[in-house]
Amino acid sequence: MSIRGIFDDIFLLELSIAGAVFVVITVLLVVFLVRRRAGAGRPASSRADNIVLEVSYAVALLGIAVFLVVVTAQANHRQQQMQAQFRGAPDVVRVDVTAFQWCWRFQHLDGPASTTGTCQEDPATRPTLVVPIGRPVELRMTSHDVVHALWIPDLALKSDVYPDHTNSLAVTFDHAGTWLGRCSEFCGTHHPTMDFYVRAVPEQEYQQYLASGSPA
Amino acid sequence: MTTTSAPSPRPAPPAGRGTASAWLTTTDHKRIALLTLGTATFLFLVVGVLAMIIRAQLTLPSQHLVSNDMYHGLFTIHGSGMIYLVVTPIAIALGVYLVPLQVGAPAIAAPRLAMAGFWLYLGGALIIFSGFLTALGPALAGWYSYPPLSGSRYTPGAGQSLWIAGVFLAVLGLILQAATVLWTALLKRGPGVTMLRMPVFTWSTVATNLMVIGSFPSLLAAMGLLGWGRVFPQLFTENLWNIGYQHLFWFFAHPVVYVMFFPFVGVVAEVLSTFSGRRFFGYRATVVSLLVFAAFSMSVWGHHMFSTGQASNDYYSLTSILLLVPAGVEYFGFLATVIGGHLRFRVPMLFALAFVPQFLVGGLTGIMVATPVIDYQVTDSYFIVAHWHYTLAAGSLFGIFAAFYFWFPKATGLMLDERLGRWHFWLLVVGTNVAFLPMFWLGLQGMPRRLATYLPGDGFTTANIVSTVGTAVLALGVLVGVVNVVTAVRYRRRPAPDDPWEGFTLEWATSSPPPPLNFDDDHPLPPVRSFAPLLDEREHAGQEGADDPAEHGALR
Amino acid sequence: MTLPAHVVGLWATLNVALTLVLPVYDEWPFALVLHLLATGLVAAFGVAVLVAVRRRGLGPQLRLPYRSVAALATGALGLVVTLSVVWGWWLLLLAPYPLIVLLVTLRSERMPADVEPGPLRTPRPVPVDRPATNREIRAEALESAHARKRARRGEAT
Ligand SMILES: [Cu+2]
Repeated sequence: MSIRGIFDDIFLLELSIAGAVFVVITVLLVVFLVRRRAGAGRPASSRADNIVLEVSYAVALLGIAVFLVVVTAQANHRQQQMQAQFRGAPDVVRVDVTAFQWCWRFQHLDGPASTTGTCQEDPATRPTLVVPIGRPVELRMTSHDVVHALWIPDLALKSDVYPDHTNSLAVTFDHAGTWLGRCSEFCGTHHPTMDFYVRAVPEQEYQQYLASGSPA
Repeated sequence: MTTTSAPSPRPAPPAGRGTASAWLTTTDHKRIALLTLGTATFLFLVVGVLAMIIRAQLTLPSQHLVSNDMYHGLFTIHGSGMIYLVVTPIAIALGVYLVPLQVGAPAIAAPRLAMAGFWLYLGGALIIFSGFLTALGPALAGWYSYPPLSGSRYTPGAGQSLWIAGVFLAVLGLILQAATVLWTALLKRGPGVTMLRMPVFTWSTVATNLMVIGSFPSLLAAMGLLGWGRVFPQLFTENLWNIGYQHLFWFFAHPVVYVMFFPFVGVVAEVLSTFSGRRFFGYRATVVSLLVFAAFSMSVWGHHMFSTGQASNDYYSLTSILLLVPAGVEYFGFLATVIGGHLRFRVPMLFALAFVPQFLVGGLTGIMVATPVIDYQVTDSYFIVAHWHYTLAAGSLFGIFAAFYFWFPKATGLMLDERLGRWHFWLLVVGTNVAFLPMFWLGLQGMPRRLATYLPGDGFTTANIVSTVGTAVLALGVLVGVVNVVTAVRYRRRPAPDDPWEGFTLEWATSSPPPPLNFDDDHPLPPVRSFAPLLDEREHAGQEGADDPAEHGALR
Repeated sequence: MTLPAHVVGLWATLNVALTLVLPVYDEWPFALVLHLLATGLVAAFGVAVLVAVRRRGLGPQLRLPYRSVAALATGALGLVVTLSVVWGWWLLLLAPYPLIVLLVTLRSERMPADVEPGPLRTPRPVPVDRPATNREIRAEALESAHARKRARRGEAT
């Protein structure tokens, strides 16, 4: 199970419930719009209340609400525990992330490697964070100026990035690949191009990168 | 054709009542409300045009119709304009117009305070828009204007300062109006109108205005903090003040979402029950659910801060998800009313009916974004943009138009055209859904909100084109509505009777438009035995003799 | 009689209850203070309602000001004060003018308490047989309006 997996599960659950509720209400509405149209000649009901029905319905709703609260709180705890586990792992890769107007700097704590860029429309100007496959990675994020947010959409990973405060995200990349990261908190003029990449590479290549400061 | 100069079917009003100075120094709650509603409607069109420019820019990748900073100014003024200057003022001023009428009162409590509210709101709006005239352009830090970005270090220029001052002033005005409406509903009701005989709309304003009194002052504090920080920018280098601002802001800004929603629950309830020809089903349950909903909505603000890493997410998630109970009870009332009705599909009814499934989309996705593990992914993305456009545009805006078509004849003495009204409605339904549904997809695809432009390789192009087409249809719908109003007012071909819809509540017992003190000798206050007094009368007339309204479930 | 105050009071109480759950979740105390302050505002409003009910009872507003120049002055004062924050304190030099107007009109616009205000009347419930508005009545209203319009144009009716 990954962070993305937890998101997918809960999203699917809520989407199914929401879809069912939407269909039921819309179908009911449409059916009775036809059956109860003035032309159909049914007189209006003069009933104004059915307290028993309303109270039992409200209790049923409360049951659904409690179910959702419990399930989603558990999912949130699973997610937090997973991150805590990553952070506490002996082989964790620590990276200090600094957001600034308008780009990112990634500073590896295991070696002298550090990368930054200018984040313009040309993708070559975006920094690439290089991480090893299979080892947990902890991103410790702070901002140099205003509030930014680090977002890797494909991994369902997001956190706001504050000045004078450090937030942390921990994640494991289980296969080789390159992911797009964005700034998702509006931060001024060049916010739209404040993107970066994360590249997961085999351990050996990562060690070379750490030593040389550039990917092989 | 000869020019028709305001032929009123009623005796001429006392001399001098029609002059501009009479309007601007009025103490009549109907005029105060119409001034506010008129200003808000005009600003709705202006702020809507800004959205057109935004959509034009986003239609295709790598477009630069406007500069990044101008784009940021446009979405800032679009968002803050719609929230502070359009929907919230309409939600509150609708109460200024209707509550005294619905509770059988001749006037609003403290009318000068309500009028001061209008002037402050107007002043605030002018100050905000005057930002366009400054050297560095309007405010551009978004409608929630987080520091340090909104501080003088990162957003220099008078535009941002003017925005802060304008928001402060406008919201102060709205608090004053809300307090007078609440005071009227609680204390200044006419004879026979007990609390439990107040119409659902009036109850919805009670819940709304309680939230205004509790939560809006927090925004005044937040704007004060921002203003202070613009003078002393050092303040916002400390996390304490940055996160403190977010708490102050969202403590206002979540309840304001329900301030922009509840009055339209009331509107939809009134319209649905009127055109279903029956009293609203589950009146007591709805009243209780509105009040509980309002109380809970004071404690959900932190769900806007899930991704800050500095809030107790489980608490705010709990309170937010529990909101589905009162919301579900209100929907039960909507559906049950329609299910037992004798339905007439007039224009206000169409808007009210569309509100039901469309707002539901906003509500159901609201539960999703109240779930932390979903919100971590979708917050600050187009999913959120889609979510609250479904609540505000597909929901509240449809409520606004339902109210508009429903009470326009009452306020002006003129009927709007049904055929144009239907065009307006269908264009708006198609436009709204085509414009906002693709945004859910864009958000899940990874498009952040507040993105001045994107690249061809991002994969956002198709959905953005569809969305822009929808926006154009939506705009056309609004335009048809404008034509409808202009032709109705210009030619005055269709005078409105006192009660064009066979309404249930007291405003339909007086003339259209109502006399200065709402009820007079020609239009006396009818006896009030339930929350639908005119329906009681009709039923009474229908079945002479047999008659205790309580037998039909009327409340005493 | 005191139901209005109870509605406000119960609502504030529900707010307090929700506030008191906050410490269980170990939230920053600032959130708790903020929520309690807001509840305090609502409670103060509730007390004002209670006092007003006790003093003057329930019932429609009968004493009205006849104009609202004071409101205009309040708006102008607000504008001057907030703009002075943006453009400079010197703008406050303008503040006395609306302030004086406000102070003068605040009292003078009110009608004296012992004078029955001109056109104002307590609405009295008068039982009337009000026919349901139906298509015929609407047609009639339309017809009479057209007739009036024709008459104004000098056409034969
Ligand atoms: Cu950024």
